[in-house]
Amino acid sequence: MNSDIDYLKMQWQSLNTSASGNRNDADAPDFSNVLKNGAVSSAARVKRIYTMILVICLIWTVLSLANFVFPVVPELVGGLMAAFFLLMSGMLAATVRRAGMIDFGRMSVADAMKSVCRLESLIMWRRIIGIPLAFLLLSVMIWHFSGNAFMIGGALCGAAAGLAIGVALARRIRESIREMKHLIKELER
Amino acid sequence: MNETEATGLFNEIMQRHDALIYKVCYMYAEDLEHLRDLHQEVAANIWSGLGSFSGRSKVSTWVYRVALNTCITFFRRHGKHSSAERLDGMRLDIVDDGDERSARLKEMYELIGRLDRIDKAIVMLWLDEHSYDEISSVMGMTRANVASRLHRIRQRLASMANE
Repeated sequence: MNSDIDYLKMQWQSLNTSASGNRNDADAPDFSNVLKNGAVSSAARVKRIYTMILVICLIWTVLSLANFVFPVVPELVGGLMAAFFLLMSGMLAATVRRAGMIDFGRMSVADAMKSVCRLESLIMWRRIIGIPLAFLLLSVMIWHFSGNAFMIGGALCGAAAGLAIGVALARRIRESIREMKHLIKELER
Repeated sequence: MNETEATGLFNEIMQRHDALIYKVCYMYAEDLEHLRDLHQEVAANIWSGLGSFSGRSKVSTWVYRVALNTCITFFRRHGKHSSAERLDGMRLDIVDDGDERSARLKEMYELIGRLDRIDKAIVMLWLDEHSYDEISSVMGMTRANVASRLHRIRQRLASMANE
């Protein structure tokens, strides 16, 4: 076994100087294109996208609050919109901040996994909370403007549907988080 | 560091260490598409991490850290495609003399591939002759934990080989 290990080490280290392993050049990614196409990691992409959405949410928060001064929609609707967009803005800001803290060059594997876990948890909870609230808000708005009493039931059904959708979408993220938490526990044993 | 310097440094790192990045990604990839995604993600993380590279560690150790962090935490948002080309038919450059030793070597690579993500990382670092202190720093474990874990991994590889 020891001579196998030594031979394995020698073979393994020789791969560091091998030009492209056993792959075809057609399969080898052209890393110069990584820069041309804009090298953006997953964390950086999350930060960029969610910053954009955060700005939109903040604008809508301001517009909803302005409704109290310059009424365009009923106060209840304006108030609910402001609360929804304010809550979403808070969650998005936390997500953007968390994504910006990820630096794989500085972090150990344990710290990287914890950071990614926290980021994915934030994304998951934003979906689980945000989607049903969005359905609820939408239904309340439709009810308010249509004057139809059945819309209250519709609003509640919408919220339930939103919760189901949010949970379903969050399922894969939950699996990833669970697996990483298990690995973190293994690391810290 | 301005953009030109950063681009130059990035190209130099990728040219010098692309094989190392490739072999780390290979050990974590499920299929060819996954391998490409991982490689792309590692390259992107190297690019975005250039500014924080302090130069205190060797470049190869830094690249290893970025590659392992990327591969271990990479969340594959889309499931495996049925048409995705498996990596079974592709091997890292292993000298195949057709002898028993080469066969055992291939078997060991396969056994290492069956380890969990953390154990794979520890074994890869150890095979590249990183010290226990370096492994402990990259992994975020204590040195004693690294030593005992490596011992268990070697025992597990031996028992898997005997199955």
